[in-house]
Amino acid sequence: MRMGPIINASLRSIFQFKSLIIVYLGIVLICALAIGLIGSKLIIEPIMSNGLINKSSLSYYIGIIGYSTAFILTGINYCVLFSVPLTRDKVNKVIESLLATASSVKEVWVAKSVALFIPGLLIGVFIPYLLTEYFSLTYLSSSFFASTNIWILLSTYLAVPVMFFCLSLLIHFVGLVGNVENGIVIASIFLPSISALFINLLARNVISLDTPLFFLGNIAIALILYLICMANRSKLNKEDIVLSCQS
Amino acid sequence: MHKLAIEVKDIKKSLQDRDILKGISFEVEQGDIFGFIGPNGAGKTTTIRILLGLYKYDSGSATIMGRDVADDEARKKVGFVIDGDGLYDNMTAIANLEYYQMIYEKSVDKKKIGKVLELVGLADRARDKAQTFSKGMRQRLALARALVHDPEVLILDEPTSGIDPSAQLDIRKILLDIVQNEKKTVFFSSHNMDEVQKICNRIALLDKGEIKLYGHLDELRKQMGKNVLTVHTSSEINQDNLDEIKQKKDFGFYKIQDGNLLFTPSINVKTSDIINQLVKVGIEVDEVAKKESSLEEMYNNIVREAEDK
Repeated sequence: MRMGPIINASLRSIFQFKSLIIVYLGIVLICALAIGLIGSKLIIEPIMSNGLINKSSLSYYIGIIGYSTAFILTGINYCVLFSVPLTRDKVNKVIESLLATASSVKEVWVAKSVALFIPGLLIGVFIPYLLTEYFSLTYLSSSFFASTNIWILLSTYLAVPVMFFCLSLLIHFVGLVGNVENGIVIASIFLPSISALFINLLARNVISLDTPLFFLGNIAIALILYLICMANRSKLNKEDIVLSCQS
Repeated sequence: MHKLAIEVKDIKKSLQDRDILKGISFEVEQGDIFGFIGPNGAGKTTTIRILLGLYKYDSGSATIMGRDVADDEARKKVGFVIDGDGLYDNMTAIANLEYYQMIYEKSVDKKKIGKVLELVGLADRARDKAQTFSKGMRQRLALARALVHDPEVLILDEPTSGIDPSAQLDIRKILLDIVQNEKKTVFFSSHNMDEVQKICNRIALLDKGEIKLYGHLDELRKQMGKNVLTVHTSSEINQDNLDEIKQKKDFGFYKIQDGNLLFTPSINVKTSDIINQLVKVGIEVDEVAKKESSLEEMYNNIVREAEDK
């Protein structure tokens, strides 16, 4: 199996850019603090001060904070860490060299997508976990996992990673076959537009986070991203990738 | 009978509506050092990319060790150096080689890695990152990478381009060593005629997507090469004598230089024919020297002829 070494090398390629990693972690920290602060000061504390809130509603709002954090922090990864390592790999003929071995295009594509997905996944799981546990222990005096609904957990810890893995597949598809810049444009549009859409829908109670419908909505977006790749899979060939490395 | 390492038959390839290869054919026998030469834009890199399975050909056939070039099994038998080396800058020489062993689905063989690093003269830099290497060292590391999975055929795209003469010499020595001791077949493209002449036994000259010259270097010299015959004479040469010599077009007389008559005779003309003719017209022959035409001269003649057309 060649995927393992390619993922490993791609991760090393990403982490060689120390300044990029510092910028990424800085943005993650700022976003996590901002979401935590907004969640605490603007959502939870005003509700608590009314004295009308019950535990299950509070748990739901903590869930929204957790979901939003997971979505934004996983997505930032694609905006910051995608383009520089891939551009460098293309210019330095690392991609061309890989394709000249017995590695298939699909292996290179998936392995590179997985490599970029991993840092986002770790951050996108770890920080929302910390944040929701903090709020839950502070305001509910119990673990978030014990008090929340299964669909909130599935949306936050399964649907969001699946969606962003499919985004990773799509932007790598575009980045390998065409210009890396096009991939970054997709990631940069996807993150604010979809996160704004979902957070607005949740905040205005148009759709509920604790329902299967919301979970399926996330999965549907992931499916659409994947289907875009599959519909264009004939373009994902060695020749087009090598030619795109020349331009 | 020699087995074929590479067989290319009537390959055509167009890219972006431009005919890059117009039906080229050649064979590389096992154990050859095959030089693939031609000017910029001739189609050398396109041919190499086809052999490495990076480009699909439009028509014809191309095989490596009997397998179609698109077949994964064919590529496992090939080691390569492409223009731009493709090494991981942030990895050490050893890590780069381990990585490629794993990519070829081989387990990491530190002994083999040590051996190829020794072969390319980088054993003492094994634990240094590739980004600290000079261009010549990077090319040697790329060559080590090409060898690390023990391939039968090496395909090298201008492996000595952009490096200094002593590093070029190192690479040539390594290639000769690989063919002689490791029993590999080497197919390499180059602009450097001198280099090709020094190490290749067979060549193909590609120009504007067509093979203009192909075969054993020695045979090609006999077929194509216009040897230069220099005749030194102490006799005074008058215009009548010259006119008479010029009439013999096959002799290829072209100038008098420092009292020497210079000829580029056709293949069917013997040196003795020229001498007899000179004596006949009253020119005394003191000394005769014959110089074989170099590959560079052949190459220039062909490329110039093509440009004239």
